[in-house]
Amino acid sequence: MTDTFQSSQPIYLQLADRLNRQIVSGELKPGDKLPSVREMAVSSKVNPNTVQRTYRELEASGIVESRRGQGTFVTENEEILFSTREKLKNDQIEHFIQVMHDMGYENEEIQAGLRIYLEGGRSND
Amino acid sequence: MIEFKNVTKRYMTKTALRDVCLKLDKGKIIGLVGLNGAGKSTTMKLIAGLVTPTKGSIEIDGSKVTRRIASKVSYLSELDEYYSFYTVQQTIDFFASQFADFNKDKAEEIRAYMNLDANTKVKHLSKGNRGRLKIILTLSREVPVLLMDEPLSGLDPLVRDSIVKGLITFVDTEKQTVLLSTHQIMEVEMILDEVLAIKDGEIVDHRNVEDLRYDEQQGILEWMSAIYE
Amino acid sequence: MKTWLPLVKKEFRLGLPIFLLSLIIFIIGVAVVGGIGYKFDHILQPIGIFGLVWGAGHFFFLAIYMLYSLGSEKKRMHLWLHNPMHASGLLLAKLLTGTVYLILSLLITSLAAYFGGLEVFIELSAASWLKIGVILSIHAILFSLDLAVYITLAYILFLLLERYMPAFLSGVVVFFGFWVFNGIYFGWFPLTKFYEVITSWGMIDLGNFASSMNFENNIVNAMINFQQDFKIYAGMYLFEAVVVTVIFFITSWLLDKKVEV
Repeated sequence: MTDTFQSSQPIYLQLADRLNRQIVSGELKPGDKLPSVREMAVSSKVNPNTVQRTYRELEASGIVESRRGQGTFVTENEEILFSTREKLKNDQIEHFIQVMHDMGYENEEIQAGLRIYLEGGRSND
Repeated sequence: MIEFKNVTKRYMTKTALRDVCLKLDKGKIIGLVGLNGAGKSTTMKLIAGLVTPTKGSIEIDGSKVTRRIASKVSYLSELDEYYSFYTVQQTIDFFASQFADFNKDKAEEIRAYMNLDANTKVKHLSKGNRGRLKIILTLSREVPVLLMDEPLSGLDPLVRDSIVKGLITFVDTEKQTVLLSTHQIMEVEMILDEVLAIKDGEIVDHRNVEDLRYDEQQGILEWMSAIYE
Repeated sequence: MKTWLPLVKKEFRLGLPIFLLSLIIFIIGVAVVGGIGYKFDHILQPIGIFGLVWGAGHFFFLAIYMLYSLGSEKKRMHLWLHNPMHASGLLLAKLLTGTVYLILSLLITSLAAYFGGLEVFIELSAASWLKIGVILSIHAILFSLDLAVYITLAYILFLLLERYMPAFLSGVVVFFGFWVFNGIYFGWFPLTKFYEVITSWGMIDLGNFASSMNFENNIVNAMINFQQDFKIYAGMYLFEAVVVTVIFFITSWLLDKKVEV
């Protein structure tokens, strides 16, 4: 968690993104308690107000829940976990496709390239 | 909330601040940037009531700033002169005796966190340790306004890092406003809510840092270089 | 009080060097004078005289103490003035600690003067010496305080002027200003009709005073003689007390509102 943030993008979004990834990858499990705002601020070396904003943002999306007096927890709602997983996937794909399109690749080329890349190891036998 | 109403500060040979209007909200960590001599220290001292405006007025939570605003403001000077005959602990005790809002437990906690020996005489402290002592004294007060004039200047990277971490750990961002001036913007840019740019005695820009990143995909450094080009 | 007493404690520590310096000079003085006296087979009387002179020198004690103490704060004005306390509290802590040191130093000096053999020099009873000592000491303390307040004002004015001119020039201006003021206030003003009118009441009859203190006849006579040239009024004391109090509060006000870090 000590890797740095990009200074030209909002920190609260970068931090939210980082937490979403940790949830999707399973590093943070459903029902896990997130560090307190101050702990998170100290460990990621950002302003507590920023962490507060990240937590609000995540709470609004439903991926975390704050329980009064206890702290903030990763949701156990399967539906939200699934849709977050999907969203992150789609975001990455969208980004990738955008970059490929910008460089002038056609959809067919991209698809073919992806297939070969993903099946790369096995397609030869 | 801190408010400057058309504040001008003139010294004999120069105008340090020119007709400044400014509002600083509660609960924010605000960076004050500018070249040497732009008016950063003067701005700090004006809020601390250690300098009086030539024109205009400054208010904190609606009451006019005088020297005795010291009851609401914890001011850290860029100088690090303390009473050299005291030890670290005696200096902390003396501060605790002078300010009703001084939290001695917090001071002890920060001192331990900063790894500063309590029994060393102030006159034997290295520059880095004097910097740490300043942080202990400033952050231990439970006041609405914390002013820190160049808290990182002249210190080595390790000390700067522990001071920045100390700020995150010990500032109560729900109740306290922090105004800090610095040249080491890289070190603090992740902890600032707002930035104020001062140039030749005028506030030329005042931004919410996250908005700046969101709206213009700019970090503080890019924003600064556009201003001070 | 809760914040003032710890401040007083700090002032004791800050001003300690002046007290020690005064003691050291005294000890060296006694050694030198005693040494010279030894050559002429008179050790005690010279020490007694030296004690008397050094005791009189305490007139300047508080002024020097204040200059030293304020001078050490000058390096850390941001620290000294960053305090919710009224400026009069800040200054009084210095004056009080200085006065305590003054009394201590004066006591040591007086004892040395006495045992140094003043009673050989002028023949009086021990009781008379004690009373004279007390009266002189009280006056030394009062005069010292009086001067210290004027000096404090002068120092604060020096700090104010320093913003408009180089420190050296500010020092020169205040130094000469101080002597011009002294000339007017202590030289010319007491001779005016106005001063006479407001202070010439409650004459203290030195003859009666000396008799009531049970002094020896030669002292009573000396005091009666003194009174023919110079009359002392309670009004003079009160007038100076009022003036000095006003000056003190003007000084505090300046420190509170005008002095900048």
